[in-house]
Amino acid sequence: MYRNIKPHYFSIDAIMAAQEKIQCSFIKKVECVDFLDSFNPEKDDEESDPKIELPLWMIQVFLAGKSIQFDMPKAYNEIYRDVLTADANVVDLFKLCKHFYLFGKFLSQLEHREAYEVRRTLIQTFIDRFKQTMDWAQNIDDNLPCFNRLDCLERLIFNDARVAQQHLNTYLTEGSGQMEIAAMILNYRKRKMHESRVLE
Amino acid sequence: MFVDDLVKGFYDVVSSNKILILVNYDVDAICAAKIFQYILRFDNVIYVLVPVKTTTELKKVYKEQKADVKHIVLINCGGSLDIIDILEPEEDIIFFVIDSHRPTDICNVYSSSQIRILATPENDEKIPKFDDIFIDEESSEEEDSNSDDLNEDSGNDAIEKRQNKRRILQQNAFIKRKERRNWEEKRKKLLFDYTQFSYYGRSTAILMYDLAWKLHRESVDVLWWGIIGVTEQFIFGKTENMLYLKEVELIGDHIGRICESAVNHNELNSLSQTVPSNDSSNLRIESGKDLLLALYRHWTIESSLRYSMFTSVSLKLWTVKGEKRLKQILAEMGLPLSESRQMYRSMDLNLRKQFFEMMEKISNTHNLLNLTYPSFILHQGFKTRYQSADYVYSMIATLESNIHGKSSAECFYNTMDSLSRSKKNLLDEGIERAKWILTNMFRHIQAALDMRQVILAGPFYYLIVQEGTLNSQHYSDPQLLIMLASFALRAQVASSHKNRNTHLPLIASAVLDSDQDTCIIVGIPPITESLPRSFFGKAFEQVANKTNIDVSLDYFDSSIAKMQIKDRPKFFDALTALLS
Amino acid sequence: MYCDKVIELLKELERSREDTIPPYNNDGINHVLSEMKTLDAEIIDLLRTQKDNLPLDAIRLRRAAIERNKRCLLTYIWTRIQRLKEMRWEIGAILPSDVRQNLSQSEIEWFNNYCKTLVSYMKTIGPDTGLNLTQDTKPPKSLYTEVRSLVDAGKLELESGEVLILRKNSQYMLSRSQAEPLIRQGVLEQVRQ
Repeated sequence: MYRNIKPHYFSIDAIMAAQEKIQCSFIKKVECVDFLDSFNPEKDDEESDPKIELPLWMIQVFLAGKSIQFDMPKAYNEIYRDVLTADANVVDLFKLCKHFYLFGKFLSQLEHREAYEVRRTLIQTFIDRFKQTMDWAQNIDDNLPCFNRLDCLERLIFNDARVAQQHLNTYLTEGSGQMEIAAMILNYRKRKMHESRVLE
Repeated sequence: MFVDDLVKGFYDVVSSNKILILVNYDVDAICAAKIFQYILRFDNVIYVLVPVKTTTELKKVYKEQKADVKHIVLINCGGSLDIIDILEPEEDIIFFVIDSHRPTDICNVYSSSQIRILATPENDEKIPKFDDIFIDEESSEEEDSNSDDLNEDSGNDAIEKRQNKRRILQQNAFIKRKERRNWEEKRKKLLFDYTQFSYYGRSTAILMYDLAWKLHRESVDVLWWGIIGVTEQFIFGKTENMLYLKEVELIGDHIGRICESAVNHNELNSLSQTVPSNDSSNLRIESGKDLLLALYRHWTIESSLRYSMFTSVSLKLWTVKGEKRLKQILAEMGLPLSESRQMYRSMDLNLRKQFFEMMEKISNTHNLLNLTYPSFILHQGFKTRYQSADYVYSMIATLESNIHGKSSAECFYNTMDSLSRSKKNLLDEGIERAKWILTNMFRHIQAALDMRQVILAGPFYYLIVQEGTLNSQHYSDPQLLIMLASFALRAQVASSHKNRNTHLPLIASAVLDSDQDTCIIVGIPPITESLPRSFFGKAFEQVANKTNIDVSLDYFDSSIAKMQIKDRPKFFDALTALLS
Repeated sequence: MYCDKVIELLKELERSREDTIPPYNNDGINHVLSEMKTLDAEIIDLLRTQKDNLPLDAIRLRRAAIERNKRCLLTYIWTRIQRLKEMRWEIGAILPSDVRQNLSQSEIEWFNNYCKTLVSYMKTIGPDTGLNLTQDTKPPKSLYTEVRSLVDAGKLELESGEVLILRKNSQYMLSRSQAEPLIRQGVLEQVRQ
């Protein structure tokens, strides 16, 4: 199965990350776009411009024509950056922003005065949280809900690490060479059993 | 026919083709099957292994699996049944029977080549001679036809001569018929004597070990499985003491041969002093005297003393006086009560070391002779040591754990797996379950004696486990019911003050299937008999023939029967009438 | 807003487990395709009507929407095909019927072609008749293994021509190559030593 954490053309996570909404306001007038008509700037006064939330990919388009400006979304602004530098392990990244790292990466590639800070914070957060993720993956057998606080990238890493650790443990206790039922079929059967139990 | 040479007569024949192996549900058979599988794995022989519990299952499995199979091996099943009659096989199918149930059916013994029994007939089996059972039918027909020819002789000779001849021939015919009748009566009596008592022969597992030894495929694991089979026979009283001691000697020789590498290794080490003398990955078997306390290494001393059959019967621990006696014994041994209530492996080290000597000292007083018996212990590095009896109890418990909704075949395979060293968790679970079963058994006996449920009915005692008694579902397994029965008989004899009823046997009955209202009945011989021979097989058969109760003698052990609960009182009445 | 429908398709795929394939959402795909056509028509319209004062942003926006729709549709199809490929290696060339129901016609065609290609490739590598790559995913320890059957599976013909009847709860000794596919399908279970 083609697994790659880095965003590529077909990666669903990257597409979803690009769908995240950002608050922005228009500097220049945009015509012939129906749903944006009411948000065009009336005066030159920046503060009274109506704000709208647009997904990232649209903002990338408007930035090329220099007709929009945006603020860093909640997860990447000054306050949260300070929280993350203080202690990254405590933050519930899943609730904060599901695709924290990917979205942050895309954001930091746009033209913004805080882009550099965001990039730095992203890297530092990942480094700080990595140790805990690795610890959890290698030492927990049951599905404790502790990893609900991980965002999607960390979850991918966590699952891979978990599977690898289980393989190592099986190898150390039982040796290799034991043929097993295909994982797909096992899950399929469990699901069928669960469904029939639910129906009863 | 009997097969003498296990290798040439059995293994070489069998390993060329596909085999069908049918195994009975008991510990001995499972150990034997495990050893056999171990041997077959070396030669990559394709086999099919199916567990069977009763004769009906045997027939069903045979019908399903008989396509393409030329060799069938029956382990602990079918020896005392007329196989050709029951299964009706084709001419070219050969059955190899390794069964410790005796008496072996006479048709199996004298079958020309289709049924081969893999045991040497022992002296005390007293198999009737061929001529006494089967008569050559052709020779008698020839003689009859000869007499006809003589009659048809164109007798134009003197009529008198013919008449004389006829008188002589008639006399001959008359004498022949009388001889025939005498012979038939003698045959009936011989057969009755032969099949009257059912008992057990040599353990199947140790026989399989002999095969492994002759094929040079033995190892410590295989020997240990053989030991478990032998110990099972001893614990359930299926074999006499003398035979057990003989087996122990033979096994001791094998241990010396296989485990000697460990001994040499130790001596070399003590000379060079580079490696510690206890090689921790060593697996070895030690033979020596051990106590007849069930599972004492995995339990507390107090529980083990209380719930083992031997000690509880000798000390009458179900009474109040018995409890006091127990505490007295513990005090005499110098074992503090708090220590005796701890798990054995958490006891104080000094006390543990002295425990064996303390028990031996006690055994002389307090009516506890025969507390020690020669047994075997498995050592693996620094882990817990297991006695062979521990394995037996664990396997019995695993084999009947089907109240948790597992099918009996799953229990069979769990028991088989618990013999592998990589599945120690199954063994430990079995030990826990066995502790629970032994505790329940003791409490049941205590309740039964208090409420006088062991009832004297003329020529035997009987004990009925009522439906709905607490924790009594596992008595639907015949093996456990037999354990309960022998415990109950011994307890009854010990607690009855008069000495006259000590020679009576006991019949126990428990609910088999509450939906279908069936129950099983087992009969055990009296405890005063030195040879463990039971006549209940024959007795059940005769009662079933005489009355028209629907009794099925389906199990391979003939002293176990199954019937409807409502027929039970009638059955007991008929049995009483038969045996008095 | 643009591209909402296609994101719903992807969300459906994301929600399903990694080893299942949800039903082929033909309606959704047709909807997205028609949205793309509408956007294209709008662009052409804009280009025609406002030749001198081109609303660049609007055109760029619609263009980006079309590209995004294309990317998402391709991802949808690609992900499903990856999962199908995984199934071929795990389960074998015969898919269970409820998986088959969820596939579109072209996906089924793709799967058959993939199986054919795989088999013809496997024939060319290795000595003699080729190497079965789907076998022996773990290093084998012995030629024959002991297995227990979990269901009544009927007749099994061995390579030597003999026939075994697989019944629930019997134990068999089979050659590893024959036992392996059955173990992976869950019909048999290997006995551990």
